Amino acid sequence: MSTIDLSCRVGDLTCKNPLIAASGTFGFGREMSRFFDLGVLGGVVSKGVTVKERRGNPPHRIAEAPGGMLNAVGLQNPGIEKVIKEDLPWLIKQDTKVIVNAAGDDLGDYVKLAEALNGVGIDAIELNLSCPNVKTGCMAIGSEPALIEEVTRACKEIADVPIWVKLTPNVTHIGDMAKAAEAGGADAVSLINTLLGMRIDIRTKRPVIRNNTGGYSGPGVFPVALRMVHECFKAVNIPIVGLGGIMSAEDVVEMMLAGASAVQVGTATLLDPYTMPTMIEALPSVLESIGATSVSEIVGQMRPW
Amino acid sequence: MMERKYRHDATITKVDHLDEDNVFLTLNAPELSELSKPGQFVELETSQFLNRPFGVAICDKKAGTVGIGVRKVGKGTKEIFEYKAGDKATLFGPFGYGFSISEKTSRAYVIGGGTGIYPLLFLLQELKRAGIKTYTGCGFQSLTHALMIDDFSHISDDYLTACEIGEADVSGTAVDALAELYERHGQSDGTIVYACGPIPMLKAVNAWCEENGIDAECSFEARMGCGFGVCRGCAIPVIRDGQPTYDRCCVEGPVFRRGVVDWEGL
Repeated sequence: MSTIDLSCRVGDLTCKNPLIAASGTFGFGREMSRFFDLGVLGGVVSKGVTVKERRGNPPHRIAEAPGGMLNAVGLQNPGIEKVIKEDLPWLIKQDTKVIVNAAGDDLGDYVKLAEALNGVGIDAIELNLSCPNVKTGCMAIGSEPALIEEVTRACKEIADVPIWVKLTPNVTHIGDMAKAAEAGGADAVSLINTLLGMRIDIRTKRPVIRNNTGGYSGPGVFPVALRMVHECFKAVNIPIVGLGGIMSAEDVVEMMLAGASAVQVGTATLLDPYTMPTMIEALPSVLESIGATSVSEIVGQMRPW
Repeated sequence: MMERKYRHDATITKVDHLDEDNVFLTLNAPELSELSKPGQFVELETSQFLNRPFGVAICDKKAGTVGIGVRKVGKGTKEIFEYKAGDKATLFGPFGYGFSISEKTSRAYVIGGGTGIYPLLFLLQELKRAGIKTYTGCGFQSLTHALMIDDFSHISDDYLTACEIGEADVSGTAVDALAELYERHGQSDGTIVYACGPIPMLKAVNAWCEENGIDAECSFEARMGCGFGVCRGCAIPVIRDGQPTYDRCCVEGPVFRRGVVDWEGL
């Protein structure tokens, strides 16, 4: 029996382990429950939810790339009302933390979503200020510190659960974005969302993805994510949830050393639905091998040259 | 360690190169063969980033084997083409909503195009088991591109190969074969068309069925991310509650009733 303590804290939220499923790679959890009991996870972030139903982008929505993939799904979801009625009641019954990813076109949308989620029984809201595949809102807001602060503050005033702000890497100084979220009262920041990319079919001269551009994810973005997590770790005092290309328990440890209090796993799940349980099973021995007795003690313990 | 019911570490037991671009693999995967239904697919790991989806083409629960047909088109399938008997392969599945075999079905027209024929072999196996008459038409570019004619004609009550180039049973497309078979065998209550092939073929099958008032189940393919419904990468345009939207090829599909598909939106 391992004596390694895997529990971790993100602000006031305590998770049984630091592995949280990333938004857009786990649906609302139900599809994944045929593979394993979601109770093994530290938490689940839902698919991005909008005020009204969204059909998403036309296909092709994905393309392969070295070290990962591009996607431009375009936030297809049934809308907040239906999600609260049909998807969240099941998800909050699972023995794991439930975080709802909220995506809006403007400040009003984010406020509406935060308001609608009051009293539902979720554990946190992750403000999606970073999706690169929609025309308005999301990344457009998340690239402007003043807007990040404004949206965060407005949601913070209304919501009855902690507010996480999910940041985009498609900015010059991500630390400034994290600072803006902190100034708005965010309980945590999660990063990174996907890197904006493109593939072209050389025969047709058309972009492979119908949306022309898509978000790049997978192990190829991992070093970028690590660097950005560390940059934010130095910039703010609120906890950081690190994500971007995590493929193994070693990657989890690396991300936490960079400054993440917890991590999210996304694209790896698409390749192997059992990947998160596999990482959780392997985590104690990886921690043991570096002389740690808990996950929380390694947060931000990278020793820079 | 927790059980991993949908992950299969299989051994390739047989490799049949059908021609210079097509290979048929038989894999030893008892749990997978136990779970698989016609029209469902598996995700095969390669050295490429994303797994590659293939319809289950044969399923022998007694022997504990499944088969898949693979055409060499890109890096992933090129690698699969080089597999040898004895090699290991990791698969996930079975996934997706397959063909439905109703007790009311009395005769089935089974129409395939190109590599779309592969999953129909498993369907034919189950239709035969259910005592349903099967009339099969497979369309190819030319006779040199034709695949598995013996297997399909052997298992079907009537079988036609259609090619647009060269001498075949039917000179034309898979839908021309369907028309010819229908001419021969007609319909009764509980007649259905099952189809799998490229989108132009499925569109033509739908148009023919519309004209003749026959229901059809069509199996689609799409670029997939996960294969089990969480990424929403494999969108197929459909009409739900009178509104155009996108279903997941990997969960609501790959087999769709023709009335659900938004044919204009494809």
